[in-house]
Amino acid sequence: MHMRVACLFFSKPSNTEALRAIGEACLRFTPQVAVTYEAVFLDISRSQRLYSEESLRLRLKRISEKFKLICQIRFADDAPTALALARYNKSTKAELPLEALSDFINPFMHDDSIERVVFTLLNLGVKTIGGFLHLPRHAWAARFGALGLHLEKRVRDASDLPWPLFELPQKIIERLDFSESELSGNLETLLFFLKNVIDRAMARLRGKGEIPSCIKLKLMQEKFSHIKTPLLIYPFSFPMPQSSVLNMITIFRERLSREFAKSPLQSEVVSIELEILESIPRIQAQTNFFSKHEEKSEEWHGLIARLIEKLGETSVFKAQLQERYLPEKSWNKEFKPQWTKNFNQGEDYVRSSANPPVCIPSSIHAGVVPVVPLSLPYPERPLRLLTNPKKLDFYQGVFASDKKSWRLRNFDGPERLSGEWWNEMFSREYYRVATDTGEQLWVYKDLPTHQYYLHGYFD
Amino acid sequence: MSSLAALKALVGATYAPIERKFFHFSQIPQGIPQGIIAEVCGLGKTEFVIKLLRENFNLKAAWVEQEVTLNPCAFVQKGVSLDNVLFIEPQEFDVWVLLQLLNSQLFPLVVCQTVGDEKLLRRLMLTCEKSGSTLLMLSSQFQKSWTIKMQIEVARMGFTSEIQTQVKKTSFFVV
Repeated sequence: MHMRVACLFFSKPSNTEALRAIGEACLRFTPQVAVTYEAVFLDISRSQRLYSEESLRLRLKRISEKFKLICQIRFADDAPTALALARYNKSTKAELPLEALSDFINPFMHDDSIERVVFTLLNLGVKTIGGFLHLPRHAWAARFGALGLHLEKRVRDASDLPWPLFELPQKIIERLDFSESELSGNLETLLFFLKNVIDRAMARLRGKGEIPSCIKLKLMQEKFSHIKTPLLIYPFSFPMPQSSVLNMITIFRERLSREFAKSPLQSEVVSIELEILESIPRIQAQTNFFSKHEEKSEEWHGLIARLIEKLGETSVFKAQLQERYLPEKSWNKEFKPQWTKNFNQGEDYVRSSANPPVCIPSSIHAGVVPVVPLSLPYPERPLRLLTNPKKLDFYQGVFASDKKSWRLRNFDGPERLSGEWWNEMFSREYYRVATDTGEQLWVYKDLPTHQYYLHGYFD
Repeated sequence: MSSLAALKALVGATYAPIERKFFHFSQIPQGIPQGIIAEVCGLGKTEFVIKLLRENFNLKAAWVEQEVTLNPCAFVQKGVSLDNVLFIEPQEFDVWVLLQLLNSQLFPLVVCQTVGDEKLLRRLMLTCEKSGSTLLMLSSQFQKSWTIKMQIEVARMGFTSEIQTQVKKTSFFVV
């Protein structure tokens, strides 16, 4: 296969850690990445059909901008050529100056062993790599020995050059130190800077094909003698792993505004540090143009995370039926509800606890009003159910609880429900009671004690 | 008239008519418009919502209540998929929760208990219009507010699941 290499050359490298972070973020384009003290190399031979060079250039530029670094990006058939083109800002190999030969000897490490060769060639009047390639091949061994032959071979084709191993950083930690003019204790300003930090961490995670589920945020306040704990640590454990930076920012805003309301910042923040504690693999697939399912699913995860962050885990739920005979125990709450696709076609059978399965006609799926109502093989259940049934006194046609009384006008029943002898046996007679106010109650008589209870309303 | 139309065209005040969408509902022949606040009152208001969910089977709804006393078994019995309903107990953050749900545009229908404050209702109305979601308020009595575009009175009919509905107020534009 024809080799193709992308090189990001940083003329003002800040530190190797930043370049390693960029290398990590670039892993989403190819698994073959090499990082040196001044450049990041990507072997894009096998991903050329996924990304055009122009789109890849824009994506790589965006990534380096996230890390606040400016780079030159060039594509070539081998790593030395790509590096030399980026370093000297040329478009073809022939235009490169002769000094670029040092990149051809070893693009992954600085090597000055060919200074003598370059000096000699310059004296001979060879100024560019193009001129170098026009020199007769047989003269190399005579003039420069093995080094000359090796150099000539590398300049012509270096695609067989072994790449150094890129070791992934053990932890993903992103830090931002504020300059004197940027210091702030304002939440919105902090979030503005925090977005940048999250962006970087997410780019690195995306390179590894993961999304975060647990994050630790550290805010370092300016050190003053009256501040006992200048370092503030906020762990965030998302109920659902987050893939959207904007959703995460909303969660951070909610949490930090609550924390700051409880204990305000005592001085200005000088640095922010974000550490990814836990992450899970993300689904690596191309976006489906014909379905909004992925977007909706992402939005759903963000919404649920925001709601849970604000209200707590037990306040947001879906209902799930349980196979129990006791009506109040016949469903439970499904916390951290997952996004589900809409039902499509055909018939779905849903099983109600302690009741036979109910078949939902396919006409309902299409949004059509069913002509024939659902046949109910058992009496209708009330839509409102009290978790703890209320004791009722019944006297001369009046049901009375602690706060309210109802005059019985009509009733339907009884329906006897009993069972669960293996657990806590119950035996009840249920009545549907119409009252003079028009309300319809679901009342039962506990057979062992003959006590009446209000269990629900037909609202 | 023609000069007014010309002036409108000049300042860009003309706009393309926006087609309002409706939830089909056998109880209300005209349907329930999307992107409004509607109020349901009377005995049988929960049944009303359940019927609406049943007739629009793919409709995703969020149900916001201080303390959820709903009986999901009855939902299933009446042909409503529990997968399509998210229950939320909002504590003291009811308006925040409603705004989050409406803004997310994930739920074409949001059901809640009554919101009394006119200012909050205005905010909710704007969010409903923007997101295209309908906020269905279950109230014990009708409120006088211009933000509520539809008021429906419900009454139960005997010991059956049938209900009788009467639209008391409609004030939305159909373009």
